[in-house]
Amino acid sequence: MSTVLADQQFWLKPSSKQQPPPFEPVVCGPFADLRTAVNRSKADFFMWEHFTTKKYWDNGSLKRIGDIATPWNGWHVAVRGAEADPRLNYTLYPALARGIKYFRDEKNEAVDWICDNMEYSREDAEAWYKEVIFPNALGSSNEKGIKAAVDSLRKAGIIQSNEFQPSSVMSVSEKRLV
Amino acid sequence: MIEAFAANEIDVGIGLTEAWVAGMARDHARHMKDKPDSKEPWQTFHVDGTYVESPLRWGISTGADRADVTNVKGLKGMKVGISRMGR
Repeated sequence: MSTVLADQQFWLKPSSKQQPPPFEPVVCGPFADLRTAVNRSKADFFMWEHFTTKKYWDNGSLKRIGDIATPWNGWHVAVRGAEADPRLNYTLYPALARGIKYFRDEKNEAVDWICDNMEYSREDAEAWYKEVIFPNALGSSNEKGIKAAVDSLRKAGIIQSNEFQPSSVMSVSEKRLV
Repeated sequence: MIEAFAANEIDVGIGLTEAWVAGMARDHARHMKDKPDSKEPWQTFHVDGTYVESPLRWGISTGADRADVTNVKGLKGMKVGISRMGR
């Protein structure tokens, strides 16, 4: 994500290839260690999910610099091997579809559950709820989003081969990139 | 989860998009290096479809009293804390 940040700020050279790192990475460990690191000047900034971080902005232990969204859809379903698994269509996907419908229909219950079980304020839970968008149909992926992920990872040096393209992440047996 | 896929321990997983893509890129690179002429599938797992359409929002933070870090523009060339090195 630091590559995405640098890219959006036009700090990367105009190239699709691997770039020198835009920031000096300092390996700190999990979230608590990242918070300590910026407070002790071991690192200058870090990035973490917005609502999880917000508590620490609100209680004054971290200072907020800004926000950045992934240029791609947040979460995907992955399947073993190279071929599409038709079982998903009558096992996981109908169950997820029911869960998604319930989540959409029962906003108060969702917000209540988050407040009761996780340490978020009602205001934050409601703001988060508004932002979460599930797909209307499961089992396909968005080409632009996958391409954005591939492009960023290439610039970060994680993808080196030119043969690795957005279509490479999808099943070999069914075309599901729309 | 990526290791579990490779070990045939799981059939399906739900995770962050960029993690899946990076994992597949490693599979692909390993295959290109070890068996470049093989027609065998190189994927130990692949992406089936979107689970959450909305992007993930990342907050950018610094220490509470860091007068030297004030805005996004000023981050250029600075040290970014990370959990672990990306592969």
